[in-house]
Amino acid sequence: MNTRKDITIEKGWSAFVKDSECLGITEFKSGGKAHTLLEVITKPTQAELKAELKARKISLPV
Amino acid sequence: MAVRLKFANDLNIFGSSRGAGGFLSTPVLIGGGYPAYGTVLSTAYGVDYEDGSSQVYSGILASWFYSKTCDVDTKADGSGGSFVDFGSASNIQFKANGTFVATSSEDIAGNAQEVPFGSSNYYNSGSYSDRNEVHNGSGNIDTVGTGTFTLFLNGTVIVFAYNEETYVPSPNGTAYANGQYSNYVWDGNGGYGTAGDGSYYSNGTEVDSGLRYTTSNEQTEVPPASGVYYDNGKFNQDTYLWNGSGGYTGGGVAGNPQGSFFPFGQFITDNDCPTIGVSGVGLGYFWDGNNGWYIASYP
Repeated sequence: MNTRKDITIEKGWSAFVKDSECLGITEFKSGGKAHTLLEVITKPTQAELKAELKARKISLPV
Repeated sequence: MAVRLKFANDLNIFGSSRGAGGFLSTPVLIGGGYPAYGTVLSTAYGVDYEDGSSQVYSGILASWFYSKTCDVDTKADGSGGSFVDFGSASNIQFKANGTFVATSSEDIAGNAQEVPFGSSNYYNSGSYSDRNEVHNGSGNIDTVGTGTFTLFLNGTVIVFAYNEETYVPSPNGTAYANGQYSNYVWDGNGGYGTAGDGSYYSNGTEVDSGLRYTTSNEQTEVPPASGVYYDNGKFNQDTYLWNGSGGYTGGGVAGNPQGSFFPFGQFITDNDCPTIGVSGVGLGYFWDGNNGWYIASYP
């Protein structure tokens, strides 16, 4: 059963998070879309995104 | 050492006159009537020479035995007692070859034979009962096979021989041990043969994880309702399972599908990628690491 959500991603840096684990971060230079079960966290800059992940105790991808 | 005493005339230590004087041979009585210290009371011939350095160990009896004999005197201690004077023993010699020591109370395996022929591996083919230990004439003990030798019974296992094998897959696959095997066994007449043992691996036991093969890749439709499917990283495998009677069957690997979804960021396709924002150039689908995807521009 496909329960993934269609998400619109704003321009900036986004992290895809599963169970407090970040599977990856990437830059969306012109925004983007996702079809995912994951939580997507978006910040204007990479530094802000990493700070947010750190504050939420979300591990960064290896 | 014997003691001889000379007495003056008319001296009578026994209480009566003997007339002329002379030498008294043993026993010599003094004081209260005891033989003087050192007086030889008797001599024994060919008895154990009880010297601590002249002993030999019997494995059968698990104890030490004297390996020499001697002639030795028993002497008076001067107070009515006596002692055996091994310090002055004579005719000391090793016990003769063949002098009996002990008979075994247990069977002792022996008479080794080469099994299989040409292997240079030797195994005892039977056992001796009532085997003896004897002195060897030079201070040691030999075990001699003078007892009754009995061959091991028919079917007595000698040693593992070989595994029974099944080719998986047949006929050109690899030979695998199927759980049954054969041992070399004695035939009861001094020869040997083989006999089966063991049991086939139980039904459902995987033959070898190295034989697994992929039957299909798991796929995900990207985007939904597009009718286009892409491998998502997981896959299904079959394998070979023992059937409990030495053969095998095919079966799915437990936990199918195997593997992991493609990692975050791995490119999927740029086919039919929708335009996002002001530019639709260079956009593509990428895996999110959890079987989902996102659309982003190429790095």
